[in-house]
Amino acid sequence: MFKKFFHQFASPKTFYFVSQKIFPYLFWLSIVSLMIGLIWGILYAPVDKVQGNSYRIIYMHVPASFAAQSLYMMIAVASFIFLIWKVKLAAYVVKSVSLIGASITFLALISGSIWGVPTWGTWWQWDARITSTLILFIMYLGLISLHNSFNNLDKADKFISVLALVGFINIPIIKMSVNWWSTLHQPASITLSSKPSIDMAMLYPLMICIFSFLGLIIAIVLRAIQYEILLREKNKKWIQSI
Amino acid sequence: MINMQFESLSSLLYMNGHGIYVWVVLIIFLMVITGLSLFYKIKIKNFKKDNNEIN
Repeated sequence: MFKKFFHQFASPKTFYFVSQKIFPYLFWLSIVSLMIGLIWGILYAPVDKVQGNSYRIIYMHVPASFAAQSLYMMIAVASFIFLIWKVKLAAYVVKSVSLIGASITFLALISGSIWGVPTWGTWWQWDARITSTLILFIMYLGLISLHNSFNNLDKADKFISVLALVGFINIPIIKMSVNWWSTLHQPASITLSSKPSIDMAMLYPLMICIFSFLGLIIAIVLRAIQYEILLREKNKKWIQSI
Repeated sequence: MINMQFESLSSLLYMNGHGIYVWVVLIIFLMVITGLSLFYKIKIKNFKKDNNEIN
């Protein structure tokens, strides 16, 4: 039954119509909850004793960083599925997510850089967390340019899937960099294994921002995959009739 | 109880000297998500328009 469901949903046509139905609900729900999270965090969350009001950048920086890494994990899983089972839709996912991932990683880097000025007194530091995030950004750009450099799309799909899997090594490095090395970047405030080091009054809006931003990015990813399906399957009868 | 942290619009904008950083990041944040949302919406719209013209 699972295999049947998997095969059916992995069909570009089914994915296109199902994602079209899901998109408006996910998109607007995420937008509304993100606005609630941002207003709560920026206007109502208490001031930080050490960083003052500059810490409010956390409500944009942390969701962007979390999404940047999550999107790469999505790319790695899709690459694996494509290389092993040759699922066409997985290749479309790898291609579609690359541009969104690059934009969100850029957002994480730029917001972190601006936050660095009032907090550390510098825009940039070759710190382990920041440098590994910059490598993630370069990886995304590498995937986009490698795909664009091929005329043969099948070959391009194979090469970027292999490159994406090789680049996955950077994800645990980003995650663990603040623990492995003594870095300027602070350690994670929220972990699965211990109590959050951030006050609850600041944590609630942050959690809303993280999950609603992730929801919004997934909605945009659905749109991007729909576009990739339209481009790649444009000669199919069902596309000509939409 | 959740309280508004700023007494006036000017104190909200200024944020004790940190307002410039927070508001610039918020503007970039909103620009990126708006840009990404519109980018694919327009691309799909254009594709469908071209598709209908061909057929």
